[in-house]
Amino acid sequence: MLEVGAFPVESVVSSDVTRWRDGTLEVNEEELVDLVRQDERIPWASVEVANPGEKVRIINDYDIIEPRVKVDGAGQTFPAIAGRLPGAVGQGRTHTLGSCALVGCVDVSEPMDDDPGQKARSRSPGLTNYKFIDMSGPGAVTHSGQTPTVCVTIGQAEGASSEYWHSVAQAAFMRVSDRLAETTVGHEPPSAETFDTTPRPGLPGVVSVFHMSSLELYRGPYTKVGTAVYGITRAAPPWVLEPTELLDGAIAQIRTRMYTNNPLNLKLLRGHGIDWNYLACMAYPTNWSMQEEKAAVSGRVARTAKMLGAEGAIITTDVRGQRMVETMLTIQACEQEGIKVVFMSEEEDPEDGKAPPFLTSVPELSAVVSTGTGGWEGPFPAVERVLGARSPEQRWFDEQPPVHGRYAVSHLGDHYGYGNQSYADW
Amino acid sequence: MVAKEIERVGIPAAILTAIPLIPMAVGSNRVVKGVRVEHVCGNPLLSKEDDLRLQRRIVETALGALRTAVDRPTLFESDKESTEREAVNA
Repeated sequence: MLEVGAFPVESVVSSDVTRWRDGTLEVNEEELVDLVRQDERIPWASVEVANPGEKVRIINDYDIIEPRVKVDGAGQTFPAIAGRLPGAVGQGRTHTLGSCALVGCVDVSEPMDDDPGQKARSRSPGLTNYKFIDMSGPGAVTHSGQTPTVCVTIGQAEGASSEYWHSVAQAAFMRVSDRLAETTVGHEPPSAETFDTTPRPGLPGVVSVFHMSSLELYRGPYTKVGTAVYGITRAAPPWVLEPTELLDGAIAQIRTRMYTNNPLNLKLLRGHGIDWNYLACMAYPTNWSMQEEKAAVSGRVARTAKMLGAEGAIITTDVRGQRMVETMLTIQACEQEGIKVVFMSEEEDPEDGKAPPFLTSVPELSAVVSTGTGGWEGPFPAVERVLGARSPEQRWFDEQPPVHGRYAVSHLGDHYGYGNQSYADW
Repeated sequence: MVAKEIERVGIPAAILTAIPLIPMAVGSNRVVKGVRVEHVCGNPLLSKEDDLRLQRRIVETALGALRTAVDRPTLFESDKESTEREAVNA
């Protein structure tokens, strides 16, 4: 059982102290910069605040975190990443700065030699133009675009590898996250929600299955970069997580907030014991590059779900390309085990109706909820402030063109129906 | 898709892929199974000599596929059968 006490943040303001008071998060930027620069390897850092409605654009986001702290129960939030405690979480009591985002940015104007992706992106503006967060205007629909934000930007040390710098950056962002979440300790939360996942008799069992892109294929099995479950990023058979573990950050990095605040996980938790039994979140770090591996592990998801007693599964994926194969194989395997599947996913760019929504499909796929194409109609109006780089290029202040959800480019990153663009009207 | 278009004008085409499921679903006629997405036509874990043997076998399987009459999506696997063979439809 986990109790989550929420301290709502309606705005973030600059202050000479760091504290939460009556819906306002006050931030002493200098204190936070000093905290970041406790690690002397970080050559420079800046901390700025931004609120929804301001003409602000954030670039170079490296992780997006909703600060959380455990006030009772075992473990530490965001376990096992960046040197944090590895023990199991999801029990006891957690405080969270509700509806607040810590956006950690790494200024990548000087790409690192060991990161081919970063180098390619820096050479080709077409590959970076989609990656920004607008805080106002018609494009303020990304999952943190309408959220009071503390933006922490750090530089990179000359000659450091991206693998090395990851641990430096992630730890720095976590120091800030802990400091911000600490402002809630010792206070009574204005609202609290209790999540008890004990199964109730007579209700159908459901699981969620998150296919998550592992970078093992590109960076090797021991990389710490990328979405991590308890700090581990490699492709693996599914982790069977108690859904409350996600609320404590058991899945973290890249877009940490997307997992702690995951709307699918929360919806299933809130319906637990009423409409269904939410048996488990099966986190499946994928990116197999051999067909047999894809099929074997997807089969394992289905069998494990069956052993847990699942009658239904909601399956999502945060990757496209050849990785869609294992997603489809999971859907097929679950249906063959007698588990009803709903697939929730972004689509490929339909290219004006000429292209199929998914790279591949299976006959068993019958129920799909679309969360868009990852693109968004523009243009995105010019802004007054650009955060996330020491000296942002002028082009980032200018109006940005529409972003097409073409292959592998996802502006919204709305795999879980998170964004504010809402498809309720579809 | 490219393989299908090439076949449409009467030239046999074999697609060499690590993930045969995709071209089979798309409806390519001659699908040859490779090793992995990163190294479709070889395996760096093998010794140089064995890797060469494997590469040759995969390429020979692909050439064998071109010489085989098929009328529907057909999978050719270099580690399973003779590179010269009758078509076995999937």
